[in-house]
Amino acid sequence: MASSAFLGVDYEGLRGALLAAWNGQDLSARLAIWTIAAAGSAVVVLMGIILVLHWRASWRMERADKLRGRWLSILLDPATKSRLVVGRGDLETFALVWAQLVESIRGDYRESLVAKVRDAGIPRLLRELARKGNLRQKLLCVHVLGSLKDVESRALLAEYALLEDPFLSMQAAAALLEIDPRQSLEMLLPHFVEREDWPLSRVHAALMELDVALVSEQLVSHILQALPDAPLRAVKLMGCVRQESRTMILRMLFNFQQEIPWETEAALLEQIQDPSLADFARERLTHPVWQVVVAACKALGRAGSEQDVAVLSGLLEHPQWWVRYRVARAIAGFPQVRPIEVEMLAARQTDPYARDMLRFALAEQSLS
Amino acid sequence: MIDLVIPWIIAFVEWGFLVFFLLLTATTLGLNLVAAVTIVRYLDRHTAVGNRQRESFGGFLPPISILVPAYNEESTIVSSVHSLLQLNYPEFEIIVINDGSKDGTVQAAITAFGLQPFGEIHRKTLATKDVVEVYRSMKFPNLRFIDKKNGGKADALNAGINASNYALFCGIDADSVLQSDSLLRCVQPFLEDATTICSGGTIRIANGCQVEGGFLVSTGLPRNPLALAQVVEYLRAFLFGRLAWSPMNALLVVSGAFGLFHRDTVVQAGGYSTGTIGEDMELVMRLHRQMLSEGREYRIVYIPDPICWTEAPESLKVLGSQRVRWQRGLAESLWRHRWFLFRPGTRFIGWFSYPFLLLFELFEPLIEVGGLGFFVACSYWGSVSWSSTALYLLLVVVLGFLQTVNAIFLEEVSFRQFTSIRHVLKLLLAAVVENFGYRQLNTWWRLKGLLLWLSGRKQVWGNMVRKGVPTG
Repeated sequence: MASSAFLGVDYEGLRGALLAAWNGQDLSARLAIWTIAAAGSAVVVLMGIILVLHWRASWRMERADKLRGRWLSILLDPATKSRLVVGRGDLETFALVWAQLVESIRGDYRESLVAKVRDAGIPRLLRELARKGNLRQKLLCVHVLGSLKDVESRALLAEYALLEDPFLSMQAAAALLEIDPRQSLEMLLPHFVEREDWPLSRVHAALMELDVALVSEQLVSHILQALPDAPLRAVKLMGCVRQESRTMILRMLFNFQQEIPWETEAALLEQIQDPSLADFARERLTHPVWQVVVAACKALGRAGSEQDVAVLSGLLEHPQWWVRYRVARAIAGFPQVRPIEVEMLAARQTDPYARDMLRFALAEQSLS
Repeated sequence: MIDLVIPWIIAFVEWGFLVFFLLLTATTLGLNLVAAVTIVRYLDRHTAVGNRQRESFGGFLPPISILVPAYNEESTIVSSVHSLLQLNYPEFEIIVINDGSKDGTVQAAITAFGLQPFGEIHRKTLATKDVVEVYRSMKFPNLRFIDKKNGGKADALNAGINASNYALFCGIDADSVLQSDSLLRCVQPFLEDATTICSGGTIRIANGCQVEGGFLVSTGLPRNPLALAQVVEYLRAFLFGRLAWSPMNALLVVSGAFGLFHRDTVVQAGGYSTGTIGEDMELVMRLHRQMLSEGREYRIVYIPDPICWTEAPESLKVLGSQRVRWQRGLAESLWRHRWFLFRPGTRFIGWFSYPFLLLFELFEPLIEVGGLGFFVACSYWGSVSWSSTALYLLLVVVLGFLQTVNAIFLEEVSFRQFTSIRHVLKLLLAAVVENFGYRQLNTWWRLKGLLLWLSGRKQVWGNMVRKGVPTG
């Protein structure tokens, strides 16, 4: 029975059994057959969809490659007379090509590329897509509108910057800063400081693209207005500020006598670079919160001097490992303190933990 | 009397079997749907296509300690560490923990990285077996090597946690192949939400892929049928299955091959448990339990990006041993944390993800083998027709097939890691073929793991024979 038996399975028998089960009164068997039929059909349909989707995606990629070549030849060739033409259906592809292209281009040449894109009326299409598209399209269009410094999209971007969605709002904020840094920074700075859902790393990156004088002026002014409070995020962003402004504002904040949260105090200490602020770190070596003591030790390591060795070595027996470690690192890191002196200091320690930690820091220092 | 009872028993088993597999399929497809929505939302926000926001390295990305436990990894340790050293991340340290290897792991690392004994003050925040020596690389300042007495993978990871200097640590397997931006991607949940305590990424099979300088440069499919079946299985079970639990904050498994953790939270929870095989799963469950008990806000996140590629076993013996170990680990963790089951206040975990794992992952092989065995026995004794038995066997196969094809469909609409039509066709073919042999074997190994756990026999580090992925 070659027609009904293959691999030892009696298909005629199975077919007959299926028919019998189907025609019979056994409800569970009927349900099983229905399930098999439904699942089998779903499998066939899904497999068809997978193949169609795959074919469509491959076709789109090929088309995108062709368009990319055509657009790039127009954009990058100054002598070409061809006009840039981008259909609505290809706008997303163009936005991607543009975003990748301008990442590596600065100055006048970039301005000439921007002019070509503007002449082709693309910003208007991008604004439409930024309004009506899905989130991915909105994010992409917002980014491109920013890179094109499209003044007409300011209202839309300002609206988006206030949205709850952290991704779109942050993207819109970054785009606004590109279009009109001064006015946008004034408007956005309170949000940069208050919106916890905007990662500081991204805010910092956006601010670092701007003129340091502008950021210093506005961030310092913002912190001064907030005094006597010192917003933690604003303190953490002080790395974007000029050294002299930072020193000035840190001195003011440290000189306020009221209680500030220990996290803010530690963040302030992290910003210390200037030796003239080292006293503020010395005062905090006895702080009850060990994290603040760690930050003070690190600050002294950066801004202190060999005169601090005596006071720091008193902390080598601190119960918190991290304090001992940072103290030892600070001592071993002072350029004026020679390794032999650190070794002698270690030998003088009565506490074996303190002695070992100094030697450990010395060994680490020799590696870096 | 028996004549009256037997039909009732048969009807009960038939209906139970049917309902179980319908429920399993419906739940899996439902989870796949949640996973699909999650992926689309994630891709819109996080991929280079949608979101081109720049990330500043200016001291805002938390430094990370990468812990690499190694046991008899002589052949892979050097290339693994070299690839880790090239990771795109501003500040990280690599701590390799040799767990008393019997091969030349230590010597290979000493030679390749210029390791020198280093008088490090080893904090014993977590109890571990004794550390024999700590080495520091003279070539790479951010590389340390801890040589300790054998205590198992969990013990090695705990020693790494003790030695780590940073607030976040990433536990990885020594044979993992990472993407250069793996850490950057995995750290995002920590930046976006300060309550994040753990994030895991998707693990995929590296067999058949092209690796250069320790990084994956192109994807492919393995020729080995066993490895190919695992590619399909990873898509079905580990990618879309696990991802769906993340938005509900009910993820109970973050693979030991790549997971980023908040160090202090893990230390407070007692570190990795040395008394279990599935230390990665057990830790995640313990973290959930601790945070829920203390009423603290927290997130354990699974990101869908394929950030870690691992070599799949290509021999039945090694694969079988791995699956037995996994099932035992699952059983141990679920038993140890039975506290979750239907407990008020445990949110989605106690009412959904824990019962799901219990019923559909732990007991599924028992129900499948038991049910089909029952039908075969009944057919043999003439109580059930052979055709009915074949019908239920067909049901199991078709429903499994549907789950697999659905997973391939989701892959096609999301990551499209397999760009050639030949690969897609090969995957679909594998989805068909794996139903005849591979899945049954897998079910058997899982059943064996469950039975071994019940018998209470101990198991140690698995010996994985590594072939290595092709390098350019």
